[in-house]
Amino acid sequence: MTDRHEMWKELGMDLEAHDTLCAVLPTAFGDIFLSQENRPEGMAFYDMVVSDIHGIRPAELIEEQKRGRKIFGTFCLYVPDEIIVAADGIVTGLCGGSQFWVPDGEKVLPKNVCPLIKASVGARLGRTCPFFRIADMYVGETTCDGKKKAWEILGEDVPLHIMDMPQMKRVKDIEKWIGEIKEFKQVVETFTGHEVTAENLHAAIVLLNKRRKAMARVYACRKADPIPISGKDVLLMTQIAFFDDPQRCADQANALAEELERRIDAGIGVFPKGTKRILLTGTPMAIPNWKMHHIIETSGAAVVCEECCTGTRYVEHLVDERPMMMEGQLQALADRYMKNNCACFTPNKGRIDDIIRLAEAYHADGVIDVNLKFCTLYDTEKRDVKRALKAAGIPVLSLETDYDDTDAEQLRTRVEAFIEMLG
Amino acid sequence: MMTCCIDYYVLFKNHTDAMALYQAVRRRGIAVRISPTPRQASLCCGVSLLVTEDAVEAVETCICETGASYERIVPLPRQTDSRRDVFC
Repeated sequence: MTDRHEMWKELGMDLEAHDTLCAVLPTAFGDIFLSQENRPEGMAFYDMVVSDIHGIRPAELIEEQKRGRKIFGTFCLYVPDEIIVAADGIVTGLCGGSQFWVPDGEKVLPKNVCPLIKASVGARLGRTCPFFRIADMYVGETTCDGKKKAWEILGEDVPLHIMDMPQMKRVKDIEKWIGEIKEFKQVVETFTGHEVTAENLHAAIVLLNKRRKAMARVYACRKADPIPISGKDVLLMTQIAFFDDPQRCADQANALAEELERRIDAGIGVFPKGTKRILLTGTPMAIPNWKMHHIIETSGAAVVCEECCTGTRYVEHLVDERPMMMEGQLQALADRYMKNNCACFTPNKGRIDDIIRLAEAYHADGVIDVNLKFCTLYDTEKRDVKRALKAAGIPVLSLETDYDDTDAEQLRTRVEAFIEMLG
Repeated sequence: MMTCCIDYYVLFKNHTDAMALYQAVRRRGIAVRISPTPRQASLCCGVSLLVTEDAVEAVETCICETGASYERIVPLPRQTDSRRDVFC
């Protein structure tokens, strides 16, 4: 196999530490994904990407950099990819979903910060993530206190732009958000040396809507019974989308969706008809965080939908493609991104409405509200989620976990009891 | 005493070769999977083809007939265990 060590060395990575991660990934991936039966053929692409996740895409990004393109590492769905793509930049996700990176993060952050932030900072400072090494600029946002402080650390040796998120969704907040997008546009233009015009912004809006539509098509197939694809396979597709070229992502998702639609017509599923259906809601699951999906899907149920940033929030709501002038396009971007209902907003009733709407649309038998430890926003919001779901007659289980393996048996016991209770 | 299944990992120089053989093998209806290369098979991370014991002969035939490019085939005791609960 192509030896990536030279590339990683040139990126200044800690090869010895990184090698430890490379050694464990195949086992975890095999246990979680390759132990499944009758997976769709279209998953082969995603299996390939994961198999060389720190090789194939990083090598592509480096080639693009050599051609003069700039790479922007982002952490959050509120950062409008359209602006970067319009300026001929490339958006990439960054590492943050493994316990492997947490200890390096804890060297500079308090232990009671969520594992996603600790892992992200650890991946950067430990020099064990090629995407963090490649990105020319990081784009942060003010969605939580932990992140706000993390930017001060991450911005020490890499250019970093922070988008100031509104905390509410009043008209004046949306107007403020348009201002943030305008400022971001100027930063991107200066950094890339490419002007964002109404024409290239329109093309970027159309392209990223195409990605959303393709992925949403895959999600829609999960409404069927039997379910033609497992929750963990859709999670994998979604996680990889954050790193992939948007056009290729749309093409692969459309190919997968076509296969799933054929499966639905033929009554082919990956779980027996009537398997209990779970909607997952809560904090994001960055690759390679596959823990909850795996526990649920090896405990007798299937995950049919994720109401979170690595789920429907990424694929729902298109940007209005009709405006052809810059002002209208920026308004359309602001409107679309403000439709995401993150717990960083107050009030955030929209998220609860989303959970109930999606639970009905995907015929969920129950909801599991799972939050990463020390995420106070989602942890606090679980009370309202629980109360609203109870009122709607939808069973709900609230869980808190991190990336560690040690609570797996406890989680499994609780999940199995919940599924049994669903009847 | 429990007998352990043997799986075979076809190793390649690059992911393009891996996908080419994967597609050729799948066109013949042989059940194989794309897999990360286990550390026991190679020190380099990368894409390999996971073949069960009952399919390995058909895969070898496919390689011969298509002239597919690959490095070597490594037999290993089955690596997957869905109840191990060891995450990354």
